Amino acid sequence: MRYRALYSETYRDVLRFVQRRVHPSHAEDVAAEVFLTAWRRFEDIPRRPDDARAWLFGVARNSLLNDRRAQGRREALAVRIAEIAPLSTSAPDDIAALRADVARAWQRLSSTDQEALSFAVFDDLSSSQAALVLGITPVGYRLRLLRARRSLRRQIEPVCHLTDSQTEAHL
Amino acid sequence: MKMETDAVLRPFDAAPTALTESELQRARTTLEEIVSTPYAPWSEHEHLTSPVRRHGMRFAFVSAAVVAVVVASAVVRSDGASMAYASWTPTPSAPSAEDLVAAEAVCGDKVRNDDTVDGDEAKVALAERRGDLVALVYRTEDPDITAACLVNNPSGTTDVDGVRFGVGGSSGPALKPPRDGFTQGAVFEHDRGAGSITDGAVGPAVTGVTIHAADITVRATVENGRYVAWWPGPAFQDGPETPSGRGGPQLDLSYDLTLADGTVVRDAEPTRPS
Repeated sequence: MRYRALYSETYRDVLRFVQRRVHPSHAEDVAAEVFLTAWRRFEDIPRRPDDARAWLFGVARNSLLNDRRAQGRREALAVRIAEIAPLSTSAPDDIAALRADVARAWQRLSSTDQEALSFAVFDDLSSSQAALVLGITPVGYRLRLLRARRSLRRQIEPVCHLTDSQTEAHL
Repeated sequence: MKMETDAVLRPFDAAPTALTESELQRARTTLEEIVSTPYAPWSEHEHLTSPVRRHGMRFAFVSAAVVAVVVASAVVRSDGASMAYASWTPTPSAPSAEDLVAAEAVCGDKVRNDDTVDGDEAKVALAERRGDLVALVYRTEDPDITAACLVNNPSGTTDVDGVRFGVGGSSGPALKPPRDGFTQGAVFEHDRGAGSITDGAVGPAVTGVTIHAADITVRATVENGRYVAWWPGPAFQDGPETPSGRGGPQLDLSYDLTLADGTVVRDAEPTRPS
């Protein structure tokens, strides 16, 4: 059954996508809703596995945005990051300092910037897949990503010189 | 120090890389629930930001396709005095313009003040009168959300009380029914089964919907591709002690469709996703 295969292949990724955006206690409920929607709209789901995954992320995002309407009709979802990044005790002090700065900088980013960065870094989406999730064009997403990376760099540049990531070069 | 942006961020991923055994078990259970109960009424999902209030009204959303999903969460509530159901009629009539204004004044406030339906987008899709009671259905098609409102409004008066109000739906757009079929929408049961209201969509060849709810037969109002019906009895097989929610109450409804050519399709099944 194709639905079972889809569920098996994507559940973990969908749950992780949601865990980055809501309190962990809600994540499984939201993931369940996503897959109920997928069941109901199975014929709408793209056949290509990566596109299907992006489609599910889009359902999750819309679901969460709907639930947050009462909080101000946000157009982007803030993304949680780990409180303490894994760090070996032997890591140099400057690395540890950088990570502390990155954590602070992340909190200062807008939800739109966090979302754009998360799609590329944590959710492992290509520009076209991220655009599918957001309902915008790939170029529109790459512009958002460019702006988000610049914002992050501005926040932490005094500590570390961050280089452009490869996707910026393809605008 | 020179580092690449993505590499700096990557260790901050808040999502655990692997599922725990208990998460895996729950994931398997969820999958079986989804695929093995395609005809069961779905039901509410607790809203992330405000708890569902269950007093008086249970809800199921068997959306166009089956399992109704849900995101919009079902916030159901009721207030007001108990209704006089004795005036109920199995065949509906159209409320007058004055009736609609009176009912809309009350129900519109409910819709606009509800967090789970877009009050700016939701419009009255159907209205019907049965005796002293007027039912209004507000809809948004995308997302597929129904807000049902039932009021006691004796004909010819502007008195409106005994409001029953519920909201349910899914995060996705509404599915279209086939030409000679229907999709089942929200099913609300209120006052511990003393009354129920349901709506849904019909294809262009469907001119009538008759609902059998236990020993009650109701002729629904059908208009503009949708139906709505209210009746003084339960909609679920289970008693009111079975709460809404996944694995919750099972519907106790059957449907007959009347087509434009006069054909009556007995025990018609709602369209479900393939």
